[in-house]
Amino acid sequence: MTPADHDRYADSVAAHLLGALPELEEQALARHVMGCASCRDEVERLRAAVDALPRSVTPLNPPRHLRRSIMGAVAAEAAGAGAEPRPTGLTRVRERIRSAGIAPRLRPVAAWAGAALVLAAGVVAGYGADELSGGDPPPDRRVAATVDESRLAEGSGALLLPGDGGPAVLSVQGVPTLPDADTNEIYQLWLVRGNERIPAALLSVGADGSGTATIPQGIDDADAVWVTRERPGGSRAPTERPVMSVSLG
Amino acid sequence: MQLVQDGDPRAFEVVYDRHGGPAFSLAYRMVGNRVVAEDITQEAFLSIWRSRSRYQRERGSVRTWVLGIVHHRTIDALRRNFVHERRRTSAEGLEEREEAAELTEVEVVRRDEARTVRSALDGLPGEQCRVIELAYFGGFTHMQIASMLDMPVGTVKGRMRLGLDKLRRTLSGEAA
Repeated sequence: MTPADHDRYADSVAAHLLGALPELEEQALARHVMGCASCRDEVERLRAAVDALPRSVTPLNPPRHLRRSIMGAVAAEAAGAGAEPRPTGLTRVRERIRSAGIAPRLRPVAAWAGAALVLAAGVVAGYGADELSGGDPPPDRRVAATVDESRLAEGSGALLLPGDGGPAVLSVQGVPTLPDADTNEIYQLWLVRGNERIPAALLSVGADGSGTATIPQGIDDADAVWVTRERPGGSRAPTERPVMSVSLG
Repeated sequence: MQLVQDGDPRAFEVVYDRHGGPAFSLAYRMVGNRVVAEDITQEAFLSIWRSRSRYQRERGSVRTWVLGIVHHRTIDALRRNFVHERRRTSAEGLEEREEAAELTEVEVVRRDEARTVRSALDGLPGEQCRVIELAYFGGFTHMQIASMLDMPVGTVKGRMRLGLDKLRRTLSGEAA
């Protein structure tokens, strides 16, 4: 360990405490700190400031159902029942996507019809019983994506708009894996509002050609959602025509 | 905490009742989305329950331990789902609506504490406060911040260190 190595690690202690180091750097720093008293002292010295940061947040009340859900799961685990926790929020949305599914290589019209059938079957089967009990939210809406077949020959996608006002989720299938080792590009989602193109989310697609991305912003006033291929970390504006788009008009 | 470590779910309810609010508030502050914040809080508390034997009092308070786990989980979610483009203004509007109408003594203390820490943060030079907020609450890596602010990574790291050191001194009442 040279003094220069030590200085390099010492400079990273604050970033480490803030959670701002990429995983490999984090691991290297952790190894260094274990054997370096000076860096350990620096960690302890600055930790007090980092520990105070979450206390700057405006206190909010979590919803009551969250407590029931967590305690139900904990009680079940403690009893050895191993019951699954009641899904909340995004988990529910993900489960709906999984249970509704999207057939690979489905074109938009077929996807629409298929999704409608799946949703209807879900309602008939009574899934989401809590949504059907008092104060029913509007049903989920699913909008099929239009795919540029010249660039995503096998791709399909659909945007799920949860009726309970949760975040919209785009799911895709049959598209090339990104990021990959060659280009390191990634799929980026955009909200289109008039002439505005607003970065919405990044989408990783695994080896099986499928992936999902949540759009945290409200999309009520958006005209469309676009998907483009961009540099790692995303771009500030689309650098190509969309490879996939969902019209919300 | 000993009862929790012994596997008593009722004792864990007390932990949730004390720290569930700050945990949810932190997750919400970071992702700006109520549904995602609920998911993260649930995952974090289940993780805390499962790893309860790892808590060591000498390494810090239960609250610090809980919030540390929530912070890590939220950063994971941010980097996995890339929910960075949320709108802070709309998030602040939601915060106002979600705040409790009637304040308990604990809530009053927490709000005072929040004001104190925010005031200390506001007292930092703008560029130091910005890199700290982008890293801690935004979940961005130092390289992403350097790219966003168009400055060398070394400068970002330096501002993080200077900012944290000044924050520490301000909060501890130590002379600058």
